[in-house]
Formats: sequence, C-alpha cells, structure tokens
Amino acid sequence: MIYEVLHTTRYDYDAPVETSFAEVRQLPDDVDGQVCVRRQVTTDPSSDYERDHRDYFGNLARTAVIREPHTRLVVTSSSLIDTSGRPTEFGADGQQPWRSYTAAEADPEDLDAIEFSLDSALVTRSAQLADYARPSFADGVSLADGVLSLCARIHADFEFDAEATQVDTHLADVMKMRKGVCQDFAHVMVGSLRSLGLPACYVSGYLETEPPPGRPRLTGVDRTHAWVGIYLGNGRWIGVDPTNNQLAGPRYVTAARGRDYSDVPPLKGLIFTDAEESRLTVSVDVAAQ
Amino acid sequence: MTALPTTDPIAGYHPLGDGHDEMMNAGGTIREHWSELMDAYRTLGAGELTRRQGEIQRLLEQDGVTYNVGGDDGRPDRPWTLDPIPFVLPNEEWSAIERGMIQRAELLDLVLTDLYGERRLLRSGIVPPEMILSDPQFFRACDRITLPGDKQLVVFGIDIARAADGSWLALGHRAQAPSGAAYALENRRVLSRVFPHIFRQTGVQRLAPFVQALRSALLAAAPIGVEDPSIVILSPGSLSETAFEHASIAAQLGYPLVQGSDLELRRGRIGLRTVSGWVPVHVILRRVDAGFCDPLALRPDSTLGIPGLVDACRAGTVSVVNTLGSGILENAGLASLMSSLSRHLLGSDLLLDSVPSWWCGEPVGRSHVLANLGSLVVRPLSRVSLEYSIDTARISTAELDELRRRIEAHPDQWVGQQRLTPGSTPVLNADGVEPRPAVLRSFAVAGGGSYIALHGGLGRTASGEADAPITNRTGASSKDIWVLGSESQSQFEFWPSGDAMAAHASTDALPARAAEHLFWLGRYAERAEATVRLIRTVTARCDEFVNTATGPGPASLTVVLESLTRVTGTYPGFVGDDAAALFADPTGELFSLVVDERRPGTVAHAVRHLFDALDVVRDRLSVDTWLVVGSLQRELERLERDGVVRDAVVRDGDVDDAMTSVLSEMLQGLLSLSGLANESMVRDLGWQFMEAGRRIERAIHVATLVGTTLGTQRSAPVESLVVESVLIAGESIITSRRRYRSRAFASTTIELLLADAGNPRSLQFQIDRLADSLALIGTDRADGPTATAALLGELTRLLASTNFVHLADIDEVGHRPGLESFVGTVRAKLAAISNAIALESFNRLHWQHAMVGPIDHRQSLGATESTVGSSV
Repeated sequence: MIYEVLHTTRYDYDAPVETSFAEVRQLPDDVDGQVCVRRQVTTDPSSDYERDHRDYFGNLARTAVIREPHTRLVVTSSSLIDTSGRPTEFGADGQQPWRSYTAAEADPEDLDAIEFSLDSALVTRSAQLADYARPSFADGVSLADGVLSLCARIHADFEFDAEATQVDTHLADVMKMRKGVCQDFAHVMVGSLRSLGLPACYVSGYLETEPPPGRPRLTGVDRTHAWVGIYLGNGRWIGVDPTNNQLAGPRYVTAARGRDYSDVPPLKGLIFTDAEESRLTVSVDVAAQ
Repeated sequence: MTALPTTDPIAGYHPLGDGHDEMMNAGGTIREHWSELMDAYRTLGAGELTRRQGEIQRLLEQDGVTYNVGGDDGRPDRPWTLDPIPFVLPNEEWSAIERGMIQRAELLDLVLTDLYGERRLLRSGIVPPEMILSDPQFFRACDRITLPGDKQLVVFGIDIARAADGSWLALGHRAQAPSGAAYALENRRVLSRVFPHIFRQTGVQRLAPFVQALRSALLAAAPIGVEDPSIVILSPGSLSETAFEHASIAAQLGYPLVQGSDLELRRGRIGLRTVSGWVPVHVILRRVDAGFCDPLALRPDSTLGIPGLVDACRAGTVSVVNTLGSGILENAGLASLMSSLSRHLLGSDLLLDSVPSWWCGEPVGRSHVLANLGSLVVRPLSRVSLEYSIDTARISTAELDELRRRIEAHPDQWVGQQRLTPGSTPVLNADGVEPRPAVLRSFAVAGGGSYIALHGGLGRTASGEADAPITNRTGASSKDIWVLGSESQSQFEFWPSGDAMAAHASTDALPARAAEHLFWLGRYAERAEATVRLIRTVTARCDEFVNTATGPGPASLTVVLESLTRVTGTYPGFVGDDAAALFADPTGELFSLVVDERRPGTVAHAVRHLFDALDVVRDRLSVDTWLVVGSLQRELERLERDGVVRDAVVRDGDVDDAMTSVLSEMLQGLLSLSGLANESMVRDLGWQFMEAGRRIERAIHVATLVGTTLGTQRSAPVESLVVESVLIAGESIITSRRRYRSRAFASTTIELLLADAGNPRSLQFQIDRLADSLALIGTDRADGPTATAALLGELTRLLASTNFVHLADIDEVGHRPGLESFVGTVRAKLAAISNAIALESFNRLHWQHAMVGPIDHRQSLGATESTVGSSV
C-alpha cells in the first residue's frame, strides 16, 4: 500500500509565547520494510531555525525554533510511504525455539540486542512482568508462537481506556489496573519480553484510517499509534501490535523506534511564555493512495 | 584551642599503626624531603605555627573561599579550611604519579571517543555493554558529538591515595566537570603568603602555568574556522557547592561566568544575551552536569540549561568542554577495567594502578562482592546516582542485608572496591601535629598533543579518626601539595603562550543578568548606607532627648521618626495606629529596622540582597571586596545573634551603645565597599550599571527625606532641629554650617539637598551622574532614543525649570505644596527610569515550560479531531 500521512499538532495559548523549541519525530524513514517517497515537517509560524539529525536509534529528528511571538503553534508533517514491503510473517528466525538473550549469552557484536534488553526510563524489568509473560513461553515454544500468544493475551487481558492512565503512569500500575492506551499496551509487552531476556523496542507510528472494504476499523486510528518491535536476530525486527492483536504489517507506518515512549515522542519541546493555559489539538489522517 | 604541649610542634609525632606515613619512616626518622621544612617549622615553634594557622583562615575568609554544603535553604556556606603544613612530594615521585595520571587521561580520552562513536569497545566485549548502556550518564542524545582537535577529554581530574606499601593507587576519575583546581590555586596563594620565607626556600613547583594551559586548551577546542573564539564559563549559579571555584576560575581565566539563562540559541548558534544584544559564544567551559545543560534534548525539568545546546554541539557551531557525554568516564565499573583497557588500547601496562574493584554485573565480580560484604566499599555504578560510597565495614547487619538485596536485584548497578586506609601525613590540630590519612586530587588538561598536568593539587585529610571517609561534605580539611622543584623549573617552553590577547574579545560583552545584579548591587549598597545613616541620626537624637518629655526636642524627634518609616517604607511603624507607644519607646522598632532581615526596608534586608547580588557578580569584583563583605556579615550576625544585647537595649528603653557601635562599623564597611567600587573597578559597562543603580537609589532617598520632613512647616525651634537632623542624615551638615553659618532653614536645606549641583549628596548631583552613566550605557543602541533616555530628559527638564526657592513656600495651612508635588513627581520618574532600564537592558526571559505532550491516542475514540486543555 501507499499511504499519505498527514499529522497536525496545534497548541493554542492564552498569552503570547515568545519562543518555542521543538524536537519532532514525525519523519518516516526506510525502515521495517517500508519505503519513504516524500516527507516534510512545517510549522506555523515558520521556524527561525531548523535542523535534522539522525538520532542514536537511527530515527530522523528535527529541531525547530520558532521566535516569532505566537498564541497558536501548528506543527504539520506530511509524508508519502510505500508499506508493501513491511513483513507479514516471522520467517525462519521466528520458528526457532525462543531463548533468553541475557547479557551473559548475548553476542556483544549485536549491540542492539543488548540495548533493547535493558531497563529504560519508562520500562523496568520485573519478576511480575516475567511471571505474566511466562505462560506464553514454555520451553521449546518458537519465538513466533510465544510472541503471538503474549500479544493475544495482552489484547484480551487489558482494556483500551483513554481515561485510565496518564503519560507518567507507571508500568506496575498499568499491570494492576489492566487498562490503558496503545502506549501502555506496548510498554506492557516490551517489559514482559525484556523480563524474559528477549530484546524488544517501542515503535511510534501510524495506522491506516479507513479500512479496506469488509475489514474492521482498527483501534488507534486518527491518532499516533504505538506497537512493539521484536528482535529476530541478525539485525531483523518484526512489528507486533498488542492493541489490535496482529502483526504491524502493510497497514502500519513506522515513524520512530526507541526503548520506550520517552525516546521517541512525536513532538516534545519547551516554550517561553507568561501564558498559563494551553489547549492541544491533534489530528492524524492516513489515506491510501 | 588548648595550648600546645611543647614549643616543638612535632615532638610527639607518631605514625598511625603500620601504614605509610609521609613524613616519618617506620624507624621514626623524618624523611629526607621533609627535613628542611620540618626544621623551619621547629624554628617557628608551635605557638607561631598556631598563630599562622589563624592567619590562613583569616586570608581564606577574606577571599570569600567557601564550600556550600547542602543546598538552597539559608546560607550553607562553610568556610574552607587549609592546614598550615603542606603535603610534600619529591620531584621524582611526583613525575611518576604525573606519568600515570597522563596515561590515564590518554586512555580515557580513547574510551570517550569510542563510546560516543564506533562503540568498538562494547561490540568487542572489552567493556561489557551493560556497564555503559545502563549508566544514566551515557547520554544517547550526545552520540557522535565531537570536539575539534585530537582530544575529546579536555579537563581531567583524578583522586589518588597511598597504599600501606607506599605505592600510589587511583581511587576515581573526574571528567564531568572536574572541580578543585581553583581551590588548589587559592590554597597555594594563601600558604605562600603566610610562609613566604619557607615557601621560597623550599623551591616548590609552580601551579600558575596550569591556568595558561587550560586557557590554551579552551582556545584549541573552538569550532573550526573560528579565529578569535569567545569563551564563557557556564555555572549553575551561586548556590552551587563549588560556587567559589567557578567564580575564581572565571576571574583567573578572564572569561565571563554565565548561567544557562544568559545564553541563547539563535539561528543554530549559541550566544550570550548581553545588554547590547546577542553576541556569539564559541567555547563553553561547563561546570553544570550534562543532564541539566539542555532541557530540550536532555532533562526537560532543568532550568539551568540552554534549549538547543545539544543540537548546536551536533552542528559543531559551539564546543562544550568537557563534552556533554564525558560523565560516563566517572562510571565506577571502568576502574576495574583500566589495566585491560591499557593493554588493549595503548599496548602498554598501566603505570598507576586502580584500587582493586569488582563490577557486580559480572558473575565473578558479583559473587566476590556479595561474599565480602562487610569488608568492601560499595559504590553505585553511576556518579549521577545521589548515593555515595558505602563503607560496608561501618554499617549495621540490617543495612548490610538491605544492601545485599539491592545488589542482587540490580547487580549491574553496583561496584565493590577494596577498602583502603590512605597513608597518613602530618596535620596541625588543637593538640599539636598529628598524622591523618590523606587523599590527593590533581588535574590534567589536553595540550601539546598529550596532556599537561598540574604540578600539585588539592590534598584532603580526614577530620578525625583514621578510617573516616574523606570528602568535603563531611568536613575534611584541605592541604596544599608541594612538589619540590628540580633544576628544570623553567618549564615555560611547554606551556603554549601568546594567546592571552585573544582572550579579551569575550570579556567586553556584559551579560544582561550580570548587568541586572550590578544595578541592584548599586541600589542595595546605597539603600543600606542611607538607612544606616538615617537610623544613626535618629538614635543620636533619641539619646539627646531621652529625658525630655515635651518641648521642641521630642517634637522634632517625632517628625524624624515618622520620616524614617516613610523613607524606608516600613509601614505602619511610626505612622501607624500604635505610633504613640513607639514614640514613648522607639528602641524595639529601631532595632528591628536594623536587624530584621525578612522585613523589606531594613538595613539587614538591604545587606542580604546586597550579598546575593555580590554572589552573582563575584567574578567581576576585586578580591578585597570579600574582606569588606565578611566584616559586614559578622557585624550583622553579632547584633542578630546577641539576644542579650537586644534585651538589654529594649529593657532600658535606652539606645544602647552596642547598636551605635554596630551602626558605625556597618557604615564603615559600606563606605569601604563604595570606595572599592570607585577605586578598584574598571569603568566598564558593568560599573555604569552599578553607578546608575546607586544614583537612582540616592536620588530617591534624598528627595523622600526632604519631602517627608519638610513638607509641613513647624514652629521655628522644632523646624530648626528637624533641619539639622535632615542635614546630618543627608551628610551635608558641615557644608551647611560653613555656608549658612549657624542657622539653617528649610529653604537653604532644600537648596543644598535638592538643587546644589556641587553637593555630592544632592538630588541634582545624582541626576547629573545618572545622566553620565546612562549616556555610556546607551551608546551601543542603534535604534534611536530609548524610553530610559526620554524619561531622563523629562527629569532633567523638571529640575532645570524648578525654582527651588519657591519650593519652601507654604500655603494657608502650613504645608509646602510645591515641595510635596515636586518630590512626588521626581520619585515617580525615578521609579519609571529604573523599570525602563530593566526592560531595555536586562532582557528578562519569560517562564520556561514544557510543551504539553501530544499523547493524542489518549483521547476519546471515534472522533476525527479531539482536544484537551491543560495547564502549561
């Protein structure tokens, strides 16, 4: 599929903002089998300075500074992505029995595997998470079966509830409430896998808005979405979406990958202002071309 | 301090246990390299040594040397202490240490380069990846940032101690923002002043070339293509533990001391926000921990940083020294790898060994540490952790169990280190000269293709028992390190030179924040001085009329007391509902007006704010300033603390001599301060801001004093006394007597205090000087006349058009409406000028907030557009 992604973030303030500094991760790249045909990010008011860099995790990130005083800031990204090459199956690597990728056994040459097995700011490994994951990973079970089983269980055990959690809700609390949004679903899965010694990353991106005829609309459209990357070894990854209990195949667009949400927020920034209130409006449209 | 037992200060010296002692060998003989020094100390005698110790403390205090313990509540400054006996090392021994230190710097430079570049050390497993990847000081946002030049590690600090067998061991590294060099330089300055003769005779290697080497290293770190780099020192502010060090280094290097809010990213470059606009900065010597340096790319809750700094580093438009990622080198696990790293990276053995240590992330290390809990020192892996080393020999069983659980839960976060009781060295204390374990910190900076070491450093000794931890926080005392000279004293050819001129470019620009504090320094210094004068005048009058119930004396006193409340703005005071009671016994209120720090308008309040402003602009002031400030602070503390004095004062209903003498002392201190400002500060832009503040304050004060005392006509005897008080408080009584002989009238007083351009205390004189300063401040402005200039013009015209003789005219009810309206207008204009200066020059930042995170998938389902409101 070829998708046109349009992502708009708008802030309205009750007093002028003198300066805004933004770091944007909404520049899809040629990763996870997808091919980016075109991409751009613009701001209104326009930025006085902007610069792109490739971050530690390989994502394209833009730094933008808006110096014109403003009571409204709009950040718009638009891109054209061919997703037909995104993997739809685990392949041979996934059919091997799963095994812990803990420090002692890891091949240090494969730094990614170690990087994505360790604790990160929002995801800490725990016995509780390992216990949750274990029923899916009996001895000898293939990596693919284990992952799909865990994915199905999270989908069944957790309720999608936009009111239940905040951006800073701890993973332990999410485990207790069994509620949350796609970010929480992804963190639960990442944490469960890492607690068993399996490298997993957090993927931020988009979902197709209108389903093909006869297919259901997915949860998490119209907004930025998040799912989990599973490491298959040899530098290969595959996306799994616990919110919708399926592989993150050609109906998905990857924007950025990190250890957890805090590595790859679509937009973060600082403002210098005497304003006291802000109002945030976000819209996402992913249209098949 | 008890008397020393004998006059031979080292007669009773016995080394501790069986460890190594610096001065005395196992046989009880003084080592050769100490003998000359010890002979000199013997000649001085114990009494003289103790006296000089007092002299050392006095000098350190005068220089304002402090180490701030704790944080922001109150003033936790602790005076720095320095032992009169240096730590002595022969040249050959120091050279060996120095080679080991430089080798470690070379090694860590390669490690740093690799960790933020290829990461081969991690991929090859030479450094276990988890050791680095799980350290919060490994800043992924700083990946691939490099400095021009061949070294990524520019400033390096190392702690070393002597083991029982006499060999030296490295205890740890400092690479984030190594501190202590300025303290070492200060210790040297003081010790060489207190023992000039001994110092000269001993032939000690100099420290000063290190400052030049640091300057050259900073210049060399400038972005490629920048020929005349502008350099600043980034400090977290005057509440930092080592604020003295930051200001001192800035002053010695001659580069401005700035805070994050002084710097700003513009079009991809970092620049300084100065009173005359944005000027580029090319090199930042960082004294702020990396995480706090950029709230956009690093910790979003930091207000000490510069948003966009990391991006500017990536772009290579600015060089931050040490690099933002350098804190990773303080990782405690690396210590256990130094010898294998040396073999792998340098192909040679380590010259200076580490204290044996074990990283718990490795099964062998973990089991060793867990099996030996109770005899090891356990350290958190990362120095960013707020925890310090734990000496497991000194904690309870319950604490040991807890520690064991924590290590087992997160083994990769802990490192065990062999306990080491450092070798001892002689220290002078109350009971004579005694041995104390000592730890040394020294430094090296990149230069000449390798590293240049400080020939000495900062020694620290434990405050008490032999195995107590040695840190500044626990009250250890410091030592100067004397490396005895060899023939090759002329090592100047090693020090790159000739760059001193280039350094000047960056000193011209005045940071807006420094300007603001200099302005308020001027205002508060003048406010304190004027208030002291006024209270002193009032207390003298109180004494005079204390036994008089009625008559012109008490009546005039009432007028002056009311004016005191109005001039200082300390309402209700002598004009409130309880005024009658206060008139009967004004001492309590007068006392409060001196010492109540929390009450705006009091002397103590002004002095406190004066100190705060001084702290911020410390690097711009003469060292003698601290001499004056110290004595001012002591006077205030004496009065405040001495409750006995206060009770006595209040009980007697009499203004005690104590307060009078304190007021005189304080006045003297404040006069010295203004003397220093006039005689020892360059007339640069900063001075003009201070001068403008002083002139505005004095103008407001004198106008208000005249307006509130002479606004209403009194009977001739009362008015005569009031006029006299006003002239005394306005420091113009002598002039008045000479000019108007015996009698002064309201009209002549108004003339002398408001209109006389030749009287340095008059309103006209202040406005003239203010105009001079504002003209110089305003010269840099291209965009036409400023609001400040316009307001000043109005004020000047008002004074020129006023007929001061008529200001004394009275109306039918005995008021002087002309005077009251004139004073009202003048006060309003002055306040407006002060605000206009702030607006135009101080360039205040708006509040910094985080952008609300766009967690848009949190909003209700099915809507194509949704909104959330939130508090910024």
